[in-house]
Amino acid sequence: MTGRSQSSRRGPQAEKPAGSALVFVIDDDVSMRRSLANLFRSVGLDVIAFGSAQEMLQASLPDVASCLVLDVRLPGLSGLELQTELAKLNLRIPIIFITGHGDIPMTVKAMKGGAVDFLTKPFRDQELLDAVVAATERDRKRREVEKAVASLQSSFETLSPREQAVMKLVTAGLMNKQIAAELGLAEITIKIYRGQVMKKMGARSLADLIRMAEPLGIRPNRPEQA
Amino acid sequence: MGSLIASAMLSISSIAALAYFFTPPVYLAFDAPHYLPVVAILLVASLAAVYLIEKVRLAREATLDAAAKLRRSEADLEHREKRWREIFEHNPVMYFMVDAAGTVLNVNSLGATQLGYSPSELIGHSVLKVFLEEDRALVGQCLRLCTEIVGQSHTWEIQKIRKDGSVLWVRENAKATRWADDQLIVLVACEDITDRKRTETALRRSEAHLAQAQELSRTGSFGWSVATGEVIWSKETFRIFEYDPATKPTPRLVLDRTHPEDRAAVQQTIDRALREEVDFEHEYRLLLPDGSVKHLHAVARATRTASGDTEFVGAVTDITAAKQAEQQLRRSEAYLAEAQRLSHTGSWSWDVHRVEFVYRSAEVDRLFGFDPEEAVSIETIRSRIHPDDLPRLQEVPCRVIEEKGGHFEYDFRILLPEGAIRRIHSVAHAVVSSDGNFTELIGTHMDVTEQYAARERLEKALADLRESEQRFRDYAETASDWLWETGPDHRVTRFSEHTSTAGILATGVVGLLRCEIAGDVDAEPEKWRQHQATLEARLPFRDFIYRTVTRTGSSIYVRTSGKPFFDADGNFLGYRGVSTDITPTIRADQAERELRKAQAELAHVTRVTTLGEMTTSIAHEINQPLAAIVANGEACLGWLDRDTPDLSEARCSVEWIIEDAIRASEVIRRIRALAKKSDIEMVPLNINDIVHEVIALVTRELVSQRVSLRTELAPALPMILGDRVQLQQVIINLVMNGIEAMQPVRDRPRELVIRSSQDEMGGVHLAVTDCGVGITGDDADRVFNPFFTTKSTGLGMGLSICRSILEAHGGSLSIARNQEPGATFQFVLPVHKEVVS
Repeated sequence: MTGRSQSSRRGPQAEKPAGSALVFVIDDDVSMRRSLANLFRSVGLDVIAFGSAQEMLQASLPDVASCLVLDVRLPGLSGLELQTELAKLNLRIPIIFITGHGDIPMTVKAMKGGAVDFLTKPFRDQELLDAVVAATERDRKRREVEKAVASLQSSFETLSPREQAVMKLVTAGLMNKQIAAELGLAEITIKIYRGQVMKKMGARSLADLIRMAEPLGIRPNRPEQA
Repeated sequence: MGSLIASAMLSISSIAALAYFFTPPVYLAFDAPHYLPVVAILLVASLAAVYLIEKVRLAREATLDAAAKLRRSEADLEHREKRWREIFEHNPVMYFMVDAAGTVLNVNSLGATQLGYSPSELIGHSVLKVFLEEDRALVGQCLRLCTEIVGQSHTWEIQKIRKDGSVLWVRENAKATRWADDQLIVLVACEDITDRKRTETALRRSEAHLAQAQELSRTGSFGWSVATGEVIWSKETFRIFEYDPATKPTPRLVLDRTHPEDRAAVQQTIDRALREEVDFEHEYRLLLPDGSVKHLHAVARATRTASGDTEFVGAVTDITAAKQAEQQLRRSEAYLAEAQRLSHTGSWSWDVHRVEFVYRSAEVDRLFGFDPEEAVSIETIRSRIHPDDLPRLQEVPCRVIEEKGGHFEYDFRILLPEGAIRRIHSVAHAVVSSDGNFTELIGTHMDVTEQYAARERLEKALADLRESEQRFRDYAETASDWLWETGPDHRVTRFSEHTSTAGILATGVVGLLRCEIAGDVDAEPEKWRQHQATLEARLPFRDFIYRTVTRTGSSIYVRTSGKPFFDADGNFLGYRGVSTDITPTIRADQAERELRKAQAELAHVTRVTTLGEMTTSIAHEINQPLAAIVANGEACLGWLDRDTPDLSEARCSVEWIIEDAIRASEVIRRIRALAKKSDIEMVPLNINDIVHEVIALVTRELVSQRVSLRTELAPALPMILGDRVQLQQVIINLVMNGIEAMQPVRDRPRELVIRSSQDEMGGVHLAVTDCGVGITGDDADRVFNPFFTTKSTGLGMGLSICRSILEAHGGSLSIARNQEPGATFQFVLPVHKEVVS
């Protein structure tokens, strides 16, 4: 590893995401925990280290893009059990397992549980760093999506029931006339509702509105999409 | 004069009769004043006549008298001389008439016969011959004194000597007178006062005796007249009060001398005596000017004098000596009581007829366990006597009666209430009472419990000593094969082989040096050089071992011990000692050493086996720090590669790298120590340290088997002496067994507990408890057997080796069943005692 080139080492730093990224480390071995934290901090990642799974469960976790580097074998609650616990709590932190003696069944189980990576000791640090960066990036994206959906949802909820109905039908591709017929209203009324929907949802065009409808789950109404 | 009165009376009565005749009866009332002058004139005339007649008669009688006297005087003179002579001759007083020169002029016959002489033998001789030689000068002096003043009488008392030489006391009254012829003679009247003198002497003697008696008895007498206040003291009284006999005694003097503490009482007694005028008696003390104290006893009787006054007559006795004697007596009584108490000896006296104590000292009661202050009945006392001894005691008074006297000594036992036994030695003898019978038994009870116990102890000690002597003789004979003696030149002088081992050594060792008998002098020169030095220093030696050959030629080892011995003057005579054939012991030692070696090798093998079983864990233990080193190294580069290198973080990373590298090498060192085939090294160790070292090795194993470890290690445990690696091996073995036993456990947390403590015997105790499958009864017996195993892999030597390791450490390994599931393996090791050199 000492033979690694400077440029490759700079990689992670260069790729460092603009937003803050947080790495959780759980390892019962003090020096291991310490060295991992050191490594992550050296590439500009924020680190919170725990000696056991319970410690992490008890801590209040900041709501930022993050990932968890977890030793499979831990005294008390094991890595795999923690994975289950976190899933129960709907904490979808990407997990990178590290283990001194990985075996296939365990790996499979971890991956099924949603682990993003599984590193066997001794692993190359670059591998770990890469995995961490990838995981945090994934988490960030996940969070951005979730955030956008949440914003659309709240906009959608500002619409009146009639407006929501109009929006569903508009995004389904129906014409104003068809909508008016469908709802038993005058076409002009539909036009006004449509204008309101466009305004409230902040849509610049029909295509924009249709893109918004998808994460809101309005589209499945369309028979073609089903 | 009588006649004058008689005649006057007669005249008056005659005139009265005449007057009565002349006068008519007038009832004798001189109421006829014309008769009064007649009567008066008659009265005066008759009185005058009477006087004249008397005058005439007296004058006539005087004349007649003078005539008669004149007539009688001649005859009278003759008669008188005759009478004087008569008186002179027959007077009971001795008369001497001597002249101025002392020559006897005359002596009455009494005077002469009194002295045993006839008057003629004395007359004309010097009067001095009847005086004692030594008194003659005095007699001359007296004569001269008389003749100096004539008529002056002198009296003296002097002794006279009879013709037969006997002496008589006389009082002489002498007076010088001049006879008609102017011759100066001395008249001496002597009175025999021998009797009076004798009485006087007797009186004086009795007075002297009285004074002496008073002095000797220290009793002074006194008299005290209350009315006059006059006080008379005898000489002794003065002496007692220490006043000058010239002092005038007063009651005040008594008070002055009285001890201040007694003064009030004395004053009171005297006051009361004065007030009530009764006898008194009192004791008081004097404080004399020199500070000494006298005890006085005074008795006084009140007597009435003829005049009706009260007078006290009494005696005062100096009883200081008596008081001191009394105190002395009291003290000696106290001493006696104390002595009885201290020596536990009580004295008593028993009335054999009345069957009771006449007297018994407090110590007797105390010996019987009673309070001397409380009354105790004979029955109660008897009840304390040991029933077996009672008849013997009761027999004694009977024998006194039967044998009329006797001396008795006997022992008996007293049963004290608290159950103890007191042994009493009693000595008694019968005494004759006033009626001549033996009615009383006087004796002493002496507590001999201690002596008895001491005697028993002594007898036991003697028996023990005899036994021990025999024992030592037996020991010497059994503990050795032969006894030897060497002379001053260290050559064998005496050699005695016991029969049991007879004939081990070649014959003819007498006269040889030890190094000549031995066969290893060349092989071990240093040992022999040291031995030689010991012998030359004449020091005792112990357990010197050398090799020699028997008479059959086989090689044997001999252990010998010897001590130098000296004569009374301290001259070295040689050595004495014992030797033993210790060949079997040496062989056994060699065999044991072999066995130990084999055991150590076996322990090593099992250790290595265990390490093999722990490979994964060990690999992890090494990988862990290595991975940390790599990560820290990477991080360090990261810190340095920054646009602005973060040097402090880089430095920190390097420090952690060093720490982790040390940790890794530590793990390797431990494993190497376990794997190494090193010699057993016994050093003082703390068992807790070893537990911590083991934990460091097995942590990963515990984690990977999901076993939680709990330690309950007692602080401040004493050190034990042991081999670190072997003890680590034992604990690792127990921990690994525990982990293995818990592998099938799914339904409960897998917990392993390591406890250290100090057991009640002082040993260090260590227990490893698991909650695994446990051990069945059958297995519990066999689990320590070699090659017993429940595992598919493994030699089955682990626990067997553990047990032999602990036994080699003086400890033991055992199984204890748990209340809960699982098993506890525990061992105890003795505490290492610092050897004081």
